[in-house]
Amino acid sequence: MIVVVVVLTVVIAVLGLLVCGLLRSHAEILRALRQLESGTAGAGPGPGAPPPAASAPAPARVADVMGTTLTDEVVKVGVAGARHNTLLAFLSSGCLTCQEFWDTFARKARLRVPGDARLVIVTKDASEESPSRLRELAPRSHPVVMSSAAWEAYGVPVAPYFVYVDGPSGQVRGRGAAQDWDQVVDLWSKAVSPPAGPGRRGRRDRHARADGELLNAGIAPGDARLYPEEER
Amino acid sequence: MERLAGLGLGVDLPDGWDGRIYRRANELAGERRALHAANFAMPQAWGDYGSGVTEGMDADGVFVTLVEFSPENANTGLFRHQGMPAITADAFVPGGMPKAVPGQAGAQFFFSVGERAFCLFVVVGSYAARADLVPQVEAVMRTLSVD
Repeated sequence: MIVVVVVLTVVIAVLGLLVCGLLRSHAEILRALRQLESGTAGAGPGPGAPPPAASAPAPARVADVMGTTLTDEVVKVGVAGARHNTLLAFLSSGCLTCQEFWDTFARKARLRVPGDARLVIVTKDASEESPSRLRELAPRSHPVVMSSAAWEAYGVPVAPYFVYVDGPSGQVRGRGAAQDWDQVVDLWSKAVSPPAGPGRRGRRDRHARADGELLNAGIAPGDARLYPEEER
Repeated sequence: MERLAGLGLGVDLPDGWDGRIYRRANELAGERRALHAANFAMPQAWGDYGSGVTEGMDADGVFVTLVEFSPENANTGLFRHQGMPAITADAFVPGGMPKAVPGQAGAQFFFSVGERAFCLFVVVGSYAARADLVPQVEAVMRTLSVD
């Protein structure tokens, strides 16, 4: 009887060791897959990746995004010097973590973007992506620009990666990696606000108000009463 | 300032401006090539002449579309004028748009460059402020190159 108990104990111990080994092996395989992905597709942050950073290490004036679209248009997206803020989402057709963002962007046409920023998705050039896969993933409501030059200009280390640019000043307000959209929103909601102030916005408002008041008074654009001196 | 170039067209766009050069099939004209430029964020859906774009334009917005017509039109009829025409504030009229938007004004210019025929259509967000807005368009279109 004692012998049987001892043998069973040994068997259970051996099986326990085997299970632990299998679990560890499985974890290593998952980690290797994650590393493989980051090496071939510019992949996303792994489980141990650092949390997204709300501020750039060295804010610098940035450039507009030049590239091509999935329908072969040559495009320039105004970023620096624009009247609006821009949230650049650097995604890839291949990285697993990006899928979460592609799904979110495709699902929500009216996405709440911090600071009312314009969301622009930037992938690498067609030669480094799968354009057919991108066509499946790309949302209709937000621009998708293929531009490896933008990845380089903005120093993008991984995907998904986000850069928030203040349009009027052309300054990077924040940059970092994130795992899902909620994290992006949480990160920048408190840090940014829509562009405002007395500059161009004020002038625009004055023009709009003047046009509206004139129309209410029955004076449409081109009305002769607007040019009394020219008539004399 | 960045240069947007493609399909034999090129233009310098100031920082913050959007631009695109594209071609699309057209039932009447076959393939149509066009260049769009704007000093605001252009939406995702648009017509060649700015439908879907200008409706939401602010009072200090400007939108430019350069639409190419088939080469047999070059240097004939409407397209007789050779070279980029002068873009002046006087040319803008409130009703000069396919779909009138209160406050806005548009102007249309037909011309040829070499053997290529173009229609340039410009919309400014405020007729009252056209003297401020039109020079922005003129400065951009002065950089237009046609191969």
